Amino acid sequence: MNCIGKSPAVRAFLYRFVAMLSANVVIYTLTFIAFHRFQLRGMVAYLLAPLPALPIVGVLGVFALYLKEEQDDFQRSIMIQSILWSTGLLLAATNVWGFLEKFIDAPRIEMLFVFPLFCVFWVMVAPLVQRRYR
Amino acid sequence: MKNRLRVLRAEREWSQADLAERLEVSRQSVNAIETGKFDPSLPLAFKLARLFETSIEAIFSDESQSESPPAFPG
Repeated sequence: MNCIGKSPAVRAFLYRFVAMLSANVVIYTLTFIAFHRFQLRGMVAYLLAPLPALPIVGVLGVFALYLKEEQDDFQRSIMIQSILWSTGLLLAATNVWGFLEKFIDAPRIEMLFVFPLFCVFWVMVAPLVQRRYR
Repeated sequence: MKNRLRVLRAEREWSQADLAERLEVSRQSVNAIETGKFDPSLPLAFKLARLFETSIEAIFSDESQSESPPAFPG
């Protein structure tokens, strides 16, 4: 974002965002190892599977906190547009790929990649939205 | 929405960064408002009016109203 290093809201956002992504990687890896090594099934599997989703909910909370704390309306608008564009791209991409998987045997993409894909889209889209106003 | 921000700023010889600092927003925000790409919120509009010691109407004008004034029945 343009005001990196200036706005306290942006600094807090980046700190929290990186913390949540790190938590996501750690919890994801541990859960993956647990499923793989112990061949988890039944109730234990159902109880463990939501764990990696917790930091994802946390990331949404980080976005919400930023929108609440940012005093600069314009930067808030940029963030909202970036989130909407990346969500739209994610929905479109997964829908298109769903058809390709179903009807032309395109390689299967795990649903586990949906959140990382959202992050990739958001990182790509945010600077483009910023550029519109330069 | 049209505005006289660039003129008011030039009168005081302020750069966009100077104005942004006084308003506690990013320089990009000032640029977006000046070029009419972004309309400020009411609190920011009041802040601008206070800073330039004028009214909000003296800074901003509604394009649709200025182009086609409402016709009043005689």
